Amino acid sequence: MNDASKKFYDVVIVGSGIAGGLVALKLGQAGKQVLVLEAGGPIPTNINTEMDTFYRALAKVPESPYAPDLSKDPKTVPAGRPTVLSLSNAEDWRDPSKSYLIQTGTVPFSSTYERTAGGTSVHWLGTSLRLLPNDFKIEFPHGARWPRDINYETLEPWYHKAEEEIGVSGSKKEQSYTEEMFFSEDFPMPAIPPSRIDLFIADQINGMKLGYGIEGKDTTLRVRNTPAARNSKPFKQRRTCAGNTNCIPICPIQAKYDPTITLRDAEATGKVDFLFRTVASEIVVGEKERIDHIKYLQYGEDGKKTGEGRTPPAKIFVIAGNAIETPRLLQMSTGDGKRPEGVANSSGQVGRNLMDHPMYVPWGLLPEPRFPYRGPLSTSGIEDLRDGDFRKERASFRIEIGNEGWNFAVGGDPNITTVDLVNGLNNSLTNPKYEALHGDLLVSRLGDLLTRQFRLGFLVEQEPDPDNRVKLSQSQVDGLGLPRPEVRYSLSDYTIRGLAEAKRVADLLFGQLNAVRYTRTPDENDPTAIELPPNEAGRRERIRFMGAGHIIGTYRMGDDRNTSVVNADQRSWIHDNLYLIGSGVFPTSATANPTLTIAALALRTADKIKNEPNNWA
Amino acid sequence: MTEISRRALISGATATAATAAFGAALISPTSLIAKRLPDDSVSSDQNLTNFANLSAALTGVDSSILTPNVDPFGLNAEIHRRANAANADKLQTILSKFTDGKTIEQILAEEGRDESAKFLMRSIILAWYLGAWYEPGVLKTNAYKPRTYNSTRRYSKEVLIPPKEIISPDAYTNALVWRVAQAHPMGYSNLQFGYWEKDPPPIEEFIRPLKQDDPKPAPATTDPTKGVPK
Repeated sequence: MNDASKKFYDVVIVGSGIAGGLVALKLGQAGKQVLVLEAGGPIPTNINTEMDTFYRALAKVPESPYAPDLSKDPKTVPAGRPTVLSLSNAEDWRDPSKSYLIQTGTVPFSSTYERTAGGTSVHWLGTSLRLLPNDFKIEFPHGARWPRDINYETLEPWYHKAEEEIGVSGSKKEQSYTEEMFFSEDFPMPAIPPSRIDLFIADQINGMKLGYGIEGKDTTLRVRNTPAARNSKPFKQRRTCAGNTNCIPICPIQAKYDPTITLRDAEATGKVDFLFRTVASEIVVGEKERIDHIKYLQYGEDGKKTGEGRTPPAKIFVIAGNAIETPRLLQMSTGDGKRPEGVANSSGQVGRNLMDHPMYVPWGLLPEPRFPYRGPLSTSGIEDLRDGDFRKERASFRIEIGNEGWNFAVGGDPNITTVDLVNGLNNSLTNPKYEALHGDLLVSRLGDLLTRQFRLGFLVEQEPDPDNRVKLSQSQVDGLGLPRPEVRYSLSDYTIRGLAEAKRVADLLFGQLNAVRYTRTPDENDPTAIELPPNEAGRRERIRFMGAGHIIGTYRMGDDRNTSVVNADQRSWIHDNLYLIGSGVFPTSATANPTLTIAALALRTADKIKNEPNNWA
Repeated sequence: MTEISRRALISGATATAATAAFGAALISPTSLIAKRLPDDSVSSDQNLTNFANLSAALTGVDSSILTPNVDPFGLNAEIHRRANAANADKLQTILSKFTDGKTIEQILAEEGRDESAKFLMRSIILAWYLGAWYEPGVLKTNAYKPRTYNSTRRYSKEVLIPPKEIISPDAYTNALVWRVAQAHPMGYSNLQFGYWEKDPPPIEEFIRPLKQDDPKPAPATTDPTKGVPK
């Protein structure tokens, strides 16, 4: 599985994540000869290798099961990536010896990714929401709007194909909450059952009204089942979910879809070759602005460079890095300075409009045991606040309900609370008398706390901002000597007003739930602390935002070649045989977790590539 | 005389007794490791039993769960080994007092001025609860100055007192905190689809042995962290 066996390929793809994987599969099935370049290592032969690494990891962060080791200085790593650990304190995010990304913004870009077979979706949650019809209609300044050909109606069949391909469990009825939103067919599997926490929250808040909502109505809140790429019955040779409560970072039984499944299917077509530990370093443009080949560097299992080369020529090139690595590669492709702005960048938009879903995560204790740390990490959410007239003024959000207690919220429970109670500390704020317990008292106190823990997650829409940019670092390189991505990131007032509403709604919900808040107010020196505008009482509050792991923007699609990088087919405006795919093409972030839309667009583009006669002339 | 167990034979701890009991066939293998006798005497079977009982008092979890009859992980011996390596003298002091019938509170009171017993006991509790080894000295350094939580260190090693290491993957998946949460280890569930829709069994089923006089003894798979047949 690591060989470029042909002298010529129909298609060369850079990146083996969900986008690159699906295009490789579909074109392989169509009989095209495909070569996939992956910067990271191959799929491990046995998932226990990664499980062992996970079990032994002191910090069980999203990157913990995957290579390379998290403690290495990024300048020594051939295919580096940002990690949660590098965001863990006030200093590290700006320290190039800790952070792969060179961060120059006012706040840290707080989402991370993987460079490995399968890409970042090896550690995704599995949430498979569609964008709302209005998400395709919303417009922001500087030409940020979806192309006419991409709207809910045109994308609906592709959403369904994506749900079939990756295997989504869900309920059509639960997800039809706007009049325009329709599902032409059922989900391939029935919905995943709700957790005890979901049911408690539904009991308490279903029927609440906030005075605004979708389609100008005063929306009635309702806890809804979350569609997820997680098996609710055996599907495509994979097992039913057993509730390992570990979707991030790794499902031990692959009941949750991850793109290595698609890579195996692609390989099985007999048409798809892979080159692993192969880092694309330049897209080389030939005659008539057509891409001719891609240069790459290779390294061994020990991380040492082993050589360099170039792909055979191909008819079609597809770049499926992510919204940081793809613009990095485009900007590295200067043709020895002949093309200083890089490839596909006549609009100057490459690298701009980097987005995420800045996430507000309040946590607390429920009035009764509801048993977190059981079931998939999230099974329900509140989706009815994702759209409304208010989007003229502020960002919208969806609310995710967590089943993993304070694990994500405080960054490492149940350990933090346990150490507090055993060693007389109060990091969790649940041990204000600094008691050190043992025996029966430890069991009863710790059991009471852990079984009542819960958290919410408000995923806030982010306004596109051309100054939120990915550029090449002028001073810092990776282990192969390639310039590292330099990221400038900030949150606009529009986005911060969305976070403020998230905080207000969180307070209302916690009141309705009779839940005790333990959410920390961040210190002033916390780089992720956001000062909110004055609330109803005139008070300015400070909250912390977290990254949602959703890396969006930086090579957006559009109808105008002067303000976008690719067209509705994810095809470069300049280079006819170059496609740039993934959530980098999203002109706006909306509020849905992006993976299902990435998959739907990838399947649509694979079809366009296949059926465009000029591609194969 | 110390009861001869399989574990003792393997460790060579009771080589003489074993030889006497089983004859010359065992002389050769045991004599090969005879030079380890002084160390291993610390982990004699009785010592390990005492350590399991001490651990039960410290953790609040029944010793039959800490040292099941079929024990593929040997966590009791492993945690004992680490505690012994951290402070052998103090561990012996604690174990002697405990086997003399003293409670944890009494031992703590008697050892009051010398805090090394206190922090060694906390290391032992955390090893069982989290499957990670926290050095007693590190716990001591941090316990005296309960810092305010530095919220900028969300995932950092410094949020928690850093454990030296995860004892083993088995120690993580058998950590008691998952039982006390009435859950299962994150990333290791043998439960079945949809279990999360229902409440778990009561806490007692996670931390106490099944009753001997149970009229319908449940099969071994009813260990609630290891799967409940539907």
